[in-house]
Amino acid sequence: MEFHQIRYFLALARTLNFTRAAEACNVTQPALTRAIQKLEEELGGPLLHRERNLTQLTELGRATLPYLEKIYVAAEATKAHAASLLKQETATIRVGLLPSVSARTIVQPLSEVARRIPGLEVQMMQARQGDLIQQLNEDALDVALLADDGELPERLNRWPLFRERYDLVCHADHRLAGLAAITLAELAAEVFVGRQMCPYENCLRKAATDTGLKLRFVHSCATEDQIARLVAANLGIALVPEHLGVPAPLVRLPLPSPGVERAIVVATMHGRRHTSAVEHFVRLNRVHPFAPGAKSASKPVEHSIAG
Amino acid sequence: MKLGQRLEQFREGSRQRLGPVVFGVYDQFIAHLRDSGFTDRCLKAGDRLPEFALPNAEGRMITSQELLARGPLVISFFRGDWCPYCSMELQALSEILPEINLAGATLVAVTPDTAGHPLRTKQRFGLQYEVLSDVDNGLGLRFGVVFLVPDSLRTAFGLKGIDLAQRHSGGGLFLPIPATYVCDATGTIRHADLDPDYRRRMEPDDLVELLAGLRVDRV
Repeated sequence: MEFHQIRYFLALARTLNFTRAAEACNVTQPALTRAIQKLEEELGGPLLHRERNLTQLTELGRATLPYLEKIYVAAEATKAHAASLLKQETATIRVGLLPSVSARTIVQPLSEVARRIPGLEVQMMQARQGDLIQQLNEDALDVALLADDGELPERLNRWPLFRERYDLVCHADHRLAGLAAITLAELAAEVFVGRQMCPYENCLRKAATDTGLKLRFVHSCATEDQIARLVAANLGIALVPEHLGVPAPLVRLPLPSPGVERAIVVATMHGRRHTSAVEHFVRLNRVHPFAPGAKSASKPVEHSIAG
Repeated sequence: MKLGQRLEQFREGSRQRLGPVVFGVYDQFIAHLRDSGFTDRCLKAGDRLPEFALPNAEGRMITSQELLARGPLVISFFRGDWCPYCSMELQALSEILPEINLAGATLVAVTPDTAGHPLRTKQRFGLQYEVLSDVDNGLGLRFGVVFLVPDSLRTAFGLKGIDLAQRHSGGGLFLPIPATYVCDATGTIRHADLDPDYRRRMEPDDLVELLAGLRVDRV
Protein backbone atom coordinates (compact mmCIF):
# COMPACT_ATOMS: atom_id res chain seq x y z
CA MET A 1 0.00 0.00 0.00
CA GLU A 2 1.17 3.49 -0.72
CA PHE A 3 0.71 6.65 1.28
CA HIS A 4 -0.80 8.59 -1.66
CA GLN A 5 -3.22 5.77 -2.53
CA ILE A 6 -4.69 6.03 0.94
CA ARG A 7 -4.78 9.83 0.71
CA TYR A 8 -6.75 9.60 -2.56
CA PHE A 9 -9.13 7.03 -1.13
CA LEU A 10 -9.80 9.14 1.98
CA ALA A 11 -10.56 12.16 -0.22
CA LEU A 12 -12.89 10.01 -2.30
CA ALA A 13 -14.64 8.65 0.78
CA ARG A 14 -15.17 12.25 1.92
CA THR A 15 -16.41 13.70 -1.37
CA LEU A 16 -17.88 10.58 -3.06
CA ASN A 17 -16.92 12.29 -6.29
CA PHE A 18 -13.88 11.44 -8.45
CA THR A 19 -13.53 14.96 -9.88
CA ARG A 20 -13.70 16.71 -6.54
CA ALA A 21 -11.41 14.15 -4.87
CA ALA A 22 -8.81 14.66 -7.63
CA GLU A 23 -9.04 18.41 -7.14
CA ALA A 24 -8.67 18.08 -3.38
CA CYS A 25 -5.56 15.95 -3.87
CA ASN A 26 -4.18 18.17 -6.60
CA VAL A 27 -3.87 15.34 -9.15
CA THR A 28 -5.56 14.54 -12.45
CA GLN A 29 -8.66 12.39 -12.29
CA PRO A 30 -7.13 9.54 -14.35
CA ALA A 31 -4.15 9.44 -11.97
CA LEU A 32 -6.50 9.24 -8.99
CA THR A 33 -8.63 6.57 -10.68
CA ARG A 34 -5.55 4.45 -11.49
CA ALA A 35 -4.24 4.70 -7.93
CA ILE A 36 -7.62 3.64 -6.52
CA GLN A 37 -7.79 0.71 -8.96
CA LYS A 38 -4.34 -0.46 -7.84
CA LEU A 39 -5.41 -0.18 -4.21
CA GLU A 40 -8.57 -2.17 -4.91
CA GLU A 41 -6.54 -4.84 -6.67
CA GLU A 42 -4.29 -5.14 -3.65
CA LEU A 43 -7.09 -5.12 -1.10
CA GLY A 44 -8.88 -7.79 -3.11
CA GLY A 45 -12.13 -6.06 -4.07
CA PRO A 46 -13.81 -2.78 -5.05
CA LEU A 47 -13.87 -0.04 -2.43
CA LEU A 48 -16.51 1.98 -4.31
CA HIS A 49 -19.65 1.36 -6.35
CA ARG A 50 -19.23 3.51 -9.42
CA GLU A 51 -22.56 4.49 -10.83
CA ARG A 52 -23.23 7.32 -13.24
CA ASN A 53 -24.45 9.90 -10.76
CA LEU A 54 -23.72 8.14 -7.57
CA THR A 55 -20.48 6.98 -6.03
CA GLN A 56 -20.89 4.93 -2.85
CA LEU A 57 -18.53 3.02 -0.61
CA THR A 58 -18.82 -0.76 -0.86
CA GLU A 59 -18.97 -2.88 2.23
CA LEU A 60 -15.19 -3.43 1.97
CA GLY A 61 -14.74 0.33 1.56
CA ARG A 62 -16.83 1.07 4.64
CA ALA A 63 -15.20 -1.67 6.70
CA THR A 64 -11.62 -0.62 5.94
CA LEU A 65 -12.17 3.16 5.99
CA PRO A 66 -11.57 3.72 9.74
CA TYR A 67 -8.44 1.56 9.63
CA LEU A 68 -7.09 3.31 6.55
CA GLU A 69 -7.74 6.65 8.27
CA LYS A 70 -5.80 5.49 11.28
CA ILE A 71 -2.78 4.21 9.34
CA TYR A 72 -2.77 7.41 7.26
CA VAL A 73 -2.72 9.58 10.38
CA ALA A 74 0.06 7.40 11.81
CA ALA A 75 2.14 7.77 8.63
CA GLU A 76 1.72 11.54 8.70
CA ALA A 77 2.60 11.51 12.37
CA THR A 78 5.92 9.64 12.00
CA LYS A 79 7.15 12.51 9.85
CA ALA A 80 5.65 15.39 11.86
CA HIS A 81 6.92 13.86 15.10
CA ALA A 82 10.47 13.64 13.86
CA ALA A 83 10.36 17.29 12.81
CA SER A 84 8.80 18.43 16.11
CA LEU A 85 11.48 16.71 18.17
CA LEU A 86 14.19 18.43 16.18
CA LYS A 87 12.56 21.82 16.59
CA GLN A 88 12.31 21.33 20.36
CA GLU A 89 9.02 23.18 20.44
CA THR A 90 7.28 24.05 23.67
CA ALA A 91 4.18 22.06 24.36
CA THR A 92 1.57 21.33 26.99
CA ILE A 93 0.07 18.01 27.97
CA ARG A 94 -3.17 18.25 29.92
CA VAL A 95 -3.71 14.84 31.42
CA GLY A 96 -6.55 13.70 33.64
CA LEU A 97 -6.45 10.86 36.16
CA LEU A 98 -9.08 9.13 38.25
CA PRO A 99 -8.65 9.52 42.02
CA SER A 100 -7.84 5.79 42.17
CA VAL A 101 -5.05 5.99 39.57
CA SER A 102 -1.58 7.00 40.70
CA ALA A 103 0.50 9.46 38.68
CA ARG A 104 3.17 6.74 38.90
CA THR A 105 1.39 4.99 35.99
CA ILE A 106 2.39 7.74 33.55
CA VAL A 107 5.59 9.31 34.87
CA GLN A 108 7.90 7.24 32.66
CA PRO A 109 6.28 8.33 29.35
CA LEU A 110 5.95 11.90 30.67
CA SER A 111 9.62 12.09 31.57
CA GLU A 112 10.57 10.75 28.13
CA VAL A 113 8.45 13.43 26.41
CA ALA A 114 10.01 16.06 28.72
CA ARG A 115 13.49 14.79 27.82
CA ARG A 116 12.72 15.29 24.13
CA ILE A 117 10.74 18.50 24.51
CA PRO A 118 12.47 20.49 27.25
CA GLY A 119 9.82 23.24 27.08
CA LEU A 120 7.10 20.76 28.07
CA GLU A 121 4.42 21.86 30.53
CA VAL A 122 2.40 19.17 32.25
CA GLN A 123 -1.02 20.02 33.64
CA MET A 124 -2.38 17.15 35.67
CA MET A 125 -5.96 16.99 36.80
CA GLN A 126 -7.86 14.59 38.98
CA ALA A 127 -11.57 13.95 38.61
CA ARG A 128 -14.14 11.21 38.45
CA GLN A 129 -14.69 9.29 35.24
CA GLY A 130 -17.76 11.26 34.06
CA ASP A 131 -16.03 14.59 34.66
CA LEU A 132 -12.87 13.46 32.87
CA ILE A 133 -14.92 12.42 29.84
CA GLN A 134 -16.70 15.76 29.88
CA GLN A 135 -13.39 17.63 30.06
CA LEU A 136 -12.03 15.62 27.12
CA ASN A 137 -15.20 16.50 25.27
CA GLU A 138 -14.87 20.22 26.04
CA ASP A 139 -11.17 20.24 25.10
CA ALA A 140 -10.20 21.05 28.68
CA LEU A 141 -8.08 17.88 28.66
CA ASP A 142 -5.91 16.33 25.93
CA VAL A 143 -5.73 12.85 27.34
CA ALA A 144 -7.10 10.88 30.29
CA LEU A 145 -6.63 7.53 31.92
CA LEU A 146 -10.06 5.96 32.26
CA ALA A 147 -11.47 2.70 33.52
CA ASP A 148 -12.95 0.73 30.63
CA ASP A 149 -16.31 -0.06 32.17
CA GLY A 150 -17.81 -1.02 28.80
CA GLU A 151 -19.69 2.28 28.66
CA LEU A 152 -17.05 4.65 27.31
CA PRO A 153 -18.51 6.91 24.59
CA GLU A 154 -17.71 5.88 21.03
CA ARG A 155 -16.18 9.27 20.24
CA LEU A 156 -13.24 8.44 22.51
CA ASN A 157 -10.13 6.82 21.08
CA ARG A 158 -8.90 4.41 23.68
CA TRP A 159 -5.97 2.02 24.01
CA PRO A 160 -5.56 -0.57 26.76
CA LEU A 161 -2.90 0.38 29.27
CA PHE A 162 -3.08 -2.26 31.98
CA ARG A 163 -5.41 -4.62 33.81
CA GLU A 164 -5.33 -4.95 37.55
CA ARG A 165 -7.16 -6.64 40.36
CA TYR A 166 -8.60 -5.04 43.45
CA ASP A 167 -7.37 -6.18 46.85
CA LEU A 168 -8.73 -5.73 50.32
CA VAL A 169 -6.88 -3.41 52.64
CA CYS A 170 -7.10 -3.38 56.42
CA HIS A 171 -5.05 -2.50 59.51
CA ALA A 172 -2.30 -5.02 60.28
CA ASP A 173 -3.97 -5.65 63.66
CA HIS A 174 -7.36 -6.32 62.09
CA ARG A 175 -8.80 -9.81 62.64
CA LEU A 176 -8.99 -10.41 58.85
CA ALA A 177 -5.21 -10.02 58.60
CA GLY A 178 -4.81 -13.23 60.58
CA LEU A 179 -7.12 -15.37 58.46
CA ALA A 180 -5.81 -17.95 56.00
CA ALA A 181 -8.58 -17.23 53.52
CA ILE A 182 -11.28 -14.61 53.41
CA THR A 183 -14.83 -15.46 52.41
CA LEU A 184 -17.73 -13.22 51.46
CA ALA A 185 -19.37 -14.23 54.75
CA GLU A 186 -16.38 -12.83 56.65
CA LEU A 187 -16.68 -9.59 54.69
CA ALA A 188 -20.40 -9.33 55.48
CA ALA A 189 -19.45 -9.05 59.15
CA GLU A 190 -17.23 -6.00 58.48
CA VAL A 191 -17.66 -2.27 58.03
CA PHE A 192 -16.35 -0.89 54.73
CA VAL A 193 -14.78 2.45 53.98
CA GLY A 194 -16.25 3.25 50.57
CA ARG A 195 -14.96 5.20 47.60
CA GLN A 196 -17.51 7.62 46.13
CA MET A 197 -18.94 6.50 42.78
CA CYS A 198 -16.82 3.32 42.67
CA PRO A 199 -18.31 0.74 40.28
CA TYR A 200 -15.97 -1.97 41.59
CA GLU A 201 -17.44 -1.82 45.07
CA ASN A 202 -20.77 -2.53 43.41
CA CYS A 203 -19.26 -5.65 41.79
CA LEU A 204 -18.29 -6.96 45.20
CA ARG A 205 -21.62 -5.90 46.68
CA LYS A 206 -23.43 -7.79 43.92
CA ALA A 207 -21.32 -10.92 44.42
CA ALA A 208 -22.37 -10.82 48.08
CA THR A 209 -26.05 -10.13 47.30
CA ASP A 210 -26.08 -13.12 44.91
CA THR A 211 -25.21 -15.36 47.84
CA GLY A 212 -27.76 -13.71 50.14
CA LEU A 213 -25.22 -11.55 51.99
CA LYS A 214 -25.12 -7.81 52.48
CA LEU A 215 -21.93 -5.77 52.59
CA ARG A 216 -21.97 -2.63 54.68
CA PHE A 217 -20.32 0.34 53.02
CA VAL A 218 -20.77 2.69 55.96
CA HIS A 219 -18.16 5.40 55.38
CA SER A 220 -17.62 7.29 52.18
CA CYS A 221 -14.42 8.98 50.98
CA ALA A 222 -13.45 11.12 48.00
CA THR A 223 -9.71 10.43 47.87
CA GLU A 224 -7.32 7.51 48.33
CA ASP A 225 -5.60 9.37 51.16
CA GLN A 226 -8.89 9.70 53.06
CA ILE A 227 -9.53 5.97 52.63
CA ALA A 228 -6.04 5.06 53.86
CA ARG A 229 -6.44 7.34 56.90
CA LEU A 230 -9.78 5.86 57.92
CA VAL A 231 -8.56 2.28 57.43
CA ALA A 232 -5.39 3.07 59.42
CA ALA A 233 -7.61 4.44 62.20
CA ASN A 234 -9.42 1.07 62.14
CA LEU A 235 -12.76 2.57 61.10
CA GLY A 236 -13.19 -0.20 58.55
CA ILE A 237 -11.70 -2.12 55.63
CA ALA A 238 -11.59 -1.02 51.99
CA LEU A 239 -10.84 -2.05 48.43
CA VAL A 240 -7.61 -0.90 46.82
CA PRO A 241 -6.40 -1.21 43.22
CA GLU A 242 -3.36 -3.43 42.74
CA HIS A 243 -1.01 -0.68 41.53
CA LEU A 244 -1.55 1.66 44.49
CA GLY A 245 0.95 1.46 47.32
CA VAL A 246 -0.36 0.48 50.75
CA PRO A 247 1.51 2.28 53.55
CA ALA A 248 2.13 0.69 56.97
CA PRO A 249 0.27 -0.10 59.18
CA LEU A 250 -2.08 -1.20 56.41
CA VAL A 251 -1.89 -4.63 54.80
CA ARG A 252 -3.18 -5.96 51.52
CA LEU A 253 -5.29 -9.16 51.36
CA PRO A 254 -6.75 -11.03 48.40
CA LEU A 255 -10.48 -10.75 47.74
CA PRO A 256 -12.56 -13.92 47.73
CA SER A 257 -12.69 -15.61 44.31
CA PRO A 258 -13.50 -14.60 41.57
CA GLY A 259 -12.30 -11.19 42.75
CA VAL A 260 -12.70 -7.84 41.08
CA GLU A 261 -10.68 -6.57 38.11
CA ARG A 262 -10.56 -3.42 36.05
CA ALA A 263 -8.93 -2.34 32.78
CA ILE A 264 -7.33 1.09 32.52
CA VAL A 265 -7.16 2.70 29.08
CA VAL A 266 -5.51 5.84 27.80
CA ALA A 267 -8.11 7.92 25.95
CA THR A 268 -8.25 10.96 23.68
CA MET A 269 -11.07 12.61 21.79
CA HIS A 270 -11.54 11.19 18.29
CA GLY A 271 -10.89 13.60 15.43
CA ARG A 272 -9.14 16.23 17.52
CA ARG A 273 -5.73 17.43 16.38
CA HIS A 274 -3.21 16.93 19.13
CA THR A 275 0.25 18.38 19.60
CA SER A 276 3.19 16.11 18.96
CA ALA A 277 3.82 16.03 22.70
CA VAL A 278 0.40 14.48 23.30
CA GLU A 279 0.84 12.04 20.39
CA HIS A 280 4.27 10.97 21.67
CA PHE A 281 2.83 10.53 25.14
CA VAL A 282 0.01 8.27 23.90
CA ARG A 283 2.37 6.22 21.73
CA LEU A 284 4.88 5.74 24.53
CA ASN A 285 2.04 4.54 26.75
CA ARG A 286 0.87 2.11 24.10
CA VAL A 287 4.29 0.60 23.44
CA HIS A 288 5.61 0.23 26.96
CA PRO A 289 2.56 0.19 29.18
CA PHE A 290 2.68 0.37 32.93
CA ALA A 291 2.75 -2.98 34.73
CA PRO A 292 0.67 -2.74 37.93
CA GLY A 293 2.46 -5.61 39.65
CA ALA A 294 5.96 -4.19 39.04
CA LYS A 295 8.03 -3.17 42.03
CA SER A 296 7.86 0.54 42.68
CA ALA A 297 10.24 2.92 44.47
CA SER A 298 7.81 3.26 47.37
CA LYS A 299 7.43 -0.38 48.17
CA PRO A 300 3.93 -1.31 49.19
CA VAL A 301 3.73 -3.38 52.35
CA GLU A 302 2.88 -6.86 51.15
CA HIS A 303 1.12 -9.29 53.36
CA SER A 304 1.55 -12.95 52.74
CA ILE A 305 -1.17 -15.26 53.83
CA ALA A 306 -0.21 -18.61 55.25
CA GLY A 307 -1.81 -21.66 53.65
CA MET B 1 23.87 -23.27 8.40
CA LYS B 2 22.69 -20.28 6.38
CA LEU B 3 19.50 -18.53 7.48
CA GLY B 4 17.93 -19.38 4.12
CA GLN B 5 18.48 -23.10 4.73
CA ARG B 6 17.09 -22.90 8.27
CA LEU B 7 13.99 -21.08 7.02
CA GLU B 8 13.57 -23.61 4.24
CA GLN B 9 13.77 -26.50 6.70
CA PHE B 10 11.21 -24.90 8.95
CA ARG B 11 8.96 -24.17 6.03
CA GLU B 12 9.01 -27.81 4.91
CA GLY B 13 8.20 -28.98 8.43
CA SER B 14 5.41 -26.45 8.60
CA ARG B 15 4.02 -27.57 5.23
CA GLN B 16 3.73 -31.10 6.57
CA ARG B 17 2.34 -30.04 9.95
CA LEU B 18 -0.29 -27.66 8.62
CA GLY B 19 -1.37 -29.71 5.62
CA PRO B 20 -2.15 -28.46 2.12
CA VAL B 21 -5.34 -26.54 2.98
CA VAL B 22 -3.91 -24.18 5.62
CA PHE B 23 -0.56 -23.91 3.89
CA GLY B 24 -2.42 -23.15 0.68
CA VAL B 25 -4.07 -20.11 2.31
CA TYR B 26 -0.62 -18.61 2.91
CA ASP B 27 0.63 -19.57 -0.57
CA GLN B 28 -2.41 -18.05 -2.24
CA PHE B 29 -2.05 -14.76 -0.44
CA ILE B 30 1.67 -14.50 -1.24
CA ALA B 31 0.85 -15.15 -4.91
CA HIS B 32 -1.81 -12.42 -4.76
CA LEU B 33 0.69 -9.87 -3.42
CA ARG B 34 3.20 -10.87 -6.10
CA ASP B 35 0.63 -10.65 -8.90
CA SER B 36 -0.58 -7.23 -7.78
CA GLY B 37 2.98 -5.88 -8.12
CA PHE B 38 3.15 -5.09 -4.41
CA THR B 39 6.92 -4.65 -4.15
CA ASP B 40 7.01 -2.34 -7.20
CA ARG B 41 5.35 0.28 -5.02
CA CYS B 42 7.71 -0.01 -2.02
CA LEU B 43 10.64 2.37 -1.45
CA LYS B 44 13.77 1.22 -3.29
CA ALA B 45 17.47 1.90 -3.72
CA GLY B 46 17.93 5.55 -4.61
CA ASP B 47 14.89 6.75 -2.61
CA ARG B 48 15.28 8.91 0.50
CA LEU B 49 14.74 7.36 3.90
CA PRO B 50 11.53 8.86 5.38
CA GLU B 51 12.24 10.80 8.57
CA PHE B 52 10.74 9.20 11.62
CA ALA B 53 10.48 9.22 15.40
CA LEU B 54 9.33 5.96 16.98
CA PRO B 55 9.27 4.60 20.53
CA ASN B 56 11.74 1.83 21.27
CA ALA B 57 11.09 -1.27 23.38
CA GLU B 58 12.21 0.51 26.56
CA GLY B 59 9.88 3.48 26.06
CA ARG B 60 12.27 6.06 24.62
CA MET B 61 11.76 8.03 21.41
CA ILE B 62 14.32 7.28 18.71
CA THR B 63 14.66 9.50 15.63
CA SER B 64 16.03 8.61 12.21
CA GLN B 65 18.26 11.66 12.34
CA GLU B 66 20.03 10.46 15.48
CA LEU B 67 20.42 6.98 14.02
CA LEU B 68 21.90 8.30 10.76
CA ALA B 69 24.33 10.52 12.70
CA ARG B 70 26.09 7.28 13.70
CA GLY B 71 26.57 6.13 10.08
CA PRO B 72 24.78 3.71 7.75
CA LEU B 73 21.48 2.34 8.98
CA VAL B 74 19.91 -1.09 8.53
CA ILE B 75 16.14 -1.20 9.04
CA SER B 76 14.57 -4.60 9.27
CA PHE B 77 10.77 -4.68 9.22
CA PHE B 78 9.39 -7.76 10.95
CA ARG B 79 5.87 -8.88 11.84
CA GLY B 80 6.35 -9.87 15.46
CA ASP B 81 7.93 -12.64 17.52
CA TRP B 82 4.72 -14.66 17.10
CA CYS B 83 6.08 -15.40 13.62
CA PRO B 84 8.68 -18.20 13.73
CA TYR B 85 10.40 -16.91 10.56
CA CYS B 86 10.73 -13.45 12.11
CA SER B 87 12.11 -15.00 15.28
CA MET B 88 14.74 -16.90 13.29
CA GLU B 89 15.69 -13.76 11.41
CA LEU B 90 15.94 -11.65 14.59
CA GLN B 91 18.32 -14.20 16.09
CA ALA B 92 20.35 -14.47 12.90
CA LEU B 93 20.72 -10.68 12.86
CA SER B 94 21.79 -10.82 16.48
CA GLU B 95 24.60 -13.22 15.51
CA ILE B 96 26.03 -10.79 12.95
CA LEU B 97 25.54 -7.65 15.08
CA PRO B 98 29.29 -7.33 15.85
CA GLU B 99 30.02 -7.37 12.11
CA ILE B 100 27.31 -4.77 11.43
CA ASN B 101 28.76 -2.51 14.10
CA LEU B 102 32.29 -3.13 12.86
CA ALA B 103 31.15 -1.78 9.50
CA GLY B 104 30.14 1.39 11.36
CA ALA B 105 26.44 0.68 10.81
CA THR B 106 23.45 0.60 13.16
CA LEU B 107 20.74 -2.04 13.05
CA VAL B 108 17.14 -1.42 14.10
CA ALA B 109 14.26 -3.88 13.86
CA VAL B 110 10.78 -2.39 13.37
CA THR B 111 7.52 -4.12 14.29
CA PRO B 112 3.88 -3.01 14.53
CA ASP B 113 3.73 -4.79 17.91
CA THR B 114 2.94 -2.64 20.97
CA ALA B 115 1.73 -3.34 24.52
CA GLY B 116 5.06 -4.51 25.92
CA HIS B 117 5.66 -7.05 23.12
CA PRO B 118 8.76 -5.29 21.68
CA LEU B 119 10.47 -5.46 25.09
CA ARG B 120 9.48 -9.11 25.55
CA THR B 121 10.86 -9.87 22.08
CA LYS B 122 14.18 -8.23 22.98
CA GLN B 123 14.42 -10.11 26.25
CA ARG B 124 13.33 -13.43 24.75
CA PHE B 125 16.17 -13.45 22.22
CA GLY B 126 18.65 -11.31 24.19
CA LEU B 127 18.76 -8.76 21.36
CA GLN B 128 21.36 -6.02 21.75
CA TYR B 129 19.95 -3.84 18.98
CA GLU B 130 16.98 -1.47 19.04
CA VAL B 131 13.50 -2.87 18.50
CA LEU B 132 11.24 0.03 17.48
CA SER B 133 7.48 -0.03 17.64
CA ASP B 134 5.84 1.23 14.46
CA VAL B 135 2.61 2.19 16.21
CA ASP B 136 -0.35 1.82 13.77
CA ASN B 137 2.08 0.90 10.94
CA GLY B 138 2.70 4.56 10.04
CA LEU B 139 6.34 4.11 9.03
CA GLY B 140 5.52 0.89 7.20
CA LEU B 141 3.01 2.79 5.07
CA ARG B 142 5.63 5.42 4.22
CA PHE B 143 7.91 2.63 3.01
CA GLY B 144 4.95 1.04 1.19
CA VAL B 145 5.60 -2.33 2.86
CA VAL B 146 2.25 -2.61 4.67
CA PHE B 147 -0.60 -4.81 3.45
CA LEU B 148 -4.16 -5.44 4.59
CA VAL B 149 -4.33 -8.84 6.28
CA PRO B 150 -7.21 -10.68 4.56
CA ASP B 151 -9.89 -12.50 6.54
CA SER B 152 -8.48 -15.89 5.50
CA LEU B 153 -5.13 -15.06 7.10
CA ARG B 154 -6.67 -13.50 10.19
CA THR B 155 -8.67 -16.67 10.69
CA ALA B 156 -5.53 -18.77 10.33
CA PHE B 157 -3.70 -16.56 12.86
CA GLY B 158 -6.67 -16.71 15.22
CA LEU B 159 -6.56 -20.52 15.17
CA LYS B 160 -2.96 -20.30 16.35
CA GLY B 161 -3.95 -17.93 19.14
CA ILE B 162 -2.33 -14.88 17.54
CA ASP B 163 -4.39 -11.80 18.38
CA LEU B 164 -3.08 -8.97 16.20
CA ALA B 165 -5.62 -6.48 17.61
CA GLN B 166 -4.18 -7.01 21.10
CA ARG B 167 -0.58 -6.95 19.90
CA HIS B 168 -1.13 -3.74 17.94
CA SER B 169 -3.35 -2.23 20.69
CA GLY B 170 -6.24 -1.66 18.31
CA GLY B 171 -6.89 -2.44 14.68
CA GLY B 172 -4.58 -5.33 13.85
CA LEU B 173 -5.68 -5.20 10.21
CA PHE B 174 -2.26 -4.48 8.72
CA LEU B 175 1.15 -6.10 8.71
CA PRO B 176 4.41 -5.28 6.96
CA ILE B 177 6.02 -7.69 4.53
CA PRO B 178 9.42 -8.53 5.98
CA ALA B 179 11.81 -6.05 4.40
CA THR B 180 15.43 -5.10 4.94
CA TYR B 181 16.58 -1.60 4.00
CA VAL B 182 20.16 -0.41 4.01
CA CYS B 183 20.68 3.38 4.02
CA ASP B 184 23.93 5.24 3.81
CA ALA B 185 24.72 7.97 6.34
CA THR B 186 23.23 10.63 4.06
CA GLY B 187 19.81 8.97 4.33
CA THR B 188 19.74 7.51 0.82
CA ILE B 189 18.45 3.98 0.53
CA ARG B 190 21.22 1.88 -1.01
CA HIS B 191 19.55 -1.50 -0.91
CA ALA B 192 16.04 -2.83 -0.41
CA ASP B 193 15.43 -6.52 0.15
CA LEU B 194 11.71 -7.11 -0.39
CA ASP B 195 9.78 -10.31 -0.73
CA PRO B 196 6.02 -10.77 -0.24
CA ASP B 197 6.90 -14.32 0.86
CA TYR B 198 7.36 -13.88 4.61
CA ARG B 199 9.24 -17.20 4.70
CA ARG B 200 12.20 -15.73 2.85
CA ARG B 201 14.58 -13.21 4.41
CA MET B 202 17.75 -11.43 3.45
CA GLU B 203 20.79 -13.60 4.10
CA PRO B 204 22.78 -12.01 6.98
CA ASP B 205 26.09 -12.73 5.18
CA ASP B 206 24.85 -10.72 2.19
CA LEU B 207 24.00 -7.85 4.52
CA VAL B 208 27.50 -7.84 5.99
CA GLU B 209 29.00 -7.90 2.51
CA LEU B 210 26.79 -5.02 1.42
CA LEU B 211 27.79 -2.92 4.43
CA ALA B 212 31.46 -3.63 3.72
CA GLY B 213 30.82 -2.30 0.20
CA LEU B 214 29.36 0.91 1.65
CA ARG B 215 32.47 1.31 3.75
CA VAL B 216 34.69 0.95 0.69
CA ASP B 217 32.56 3.60 -1.07
CA ARG B 218 33.21 6.01 1.76
CA VAL B 219 36.99 5.55 1.71
